Amino acid sequence: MLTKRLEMIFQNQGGKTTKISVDNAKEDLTKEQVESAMQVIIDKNIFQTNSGELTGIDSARIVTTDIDEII
Amino acid sequence: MAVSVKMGPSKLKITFSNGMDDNGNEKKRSRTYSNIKPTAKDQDIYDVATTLIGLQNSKALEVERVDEKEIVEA
Repeated sequence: MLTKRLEMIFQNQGGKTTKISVDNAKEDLTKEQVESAMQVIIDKNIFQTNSGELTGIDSARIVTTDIDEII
Repeated sequence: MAVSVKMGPSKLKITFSNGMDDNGNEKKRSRTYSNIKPTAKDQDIYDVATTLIGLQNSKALEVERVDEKEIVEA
C-alpha cells in the first residue's frame, strides 16, 4: 500500500528550518494549494519553535512510502 | 503554600477517521502538532487545523487544543 506524506518546510527566525507534515496527503495537490496552505500557517503564527516563529516558505515535498504487510 | 502558574507550550491534536474495523466501528488515528504558542487564539489554531485537514484525504473527526500549565511555588 502506498502512503503519501506531505512535508512542508518553513524558514524560522533563527535562520533554521522547521518541518510540519501531514499524513495521507491528497493525490492531486498543486504547488498553489500547498503554497497557500503554508502561507496561512505563517500568517496565523501559532507555532513557536526553539528557533523562533515561522517566517517564510522554504520548500515542500511529498514522501511516498510503499508498505507491504507480510503478516 | 502559594503557587503560580507558568503556561507551557500548547498542542494541536487532530483526530481522523481511519476507516471501519471488522465490527463496523470507526477506527481513529490522531496526529499531534507540538510547539503551539500558549497565547495563540483558538480561532487561529482552528484555522490552521482546517488548512492542514484540507491537504489530506482522511475525514477529520475532532480538533482539540491541549494546553499545559506548570505549577511552581511562587
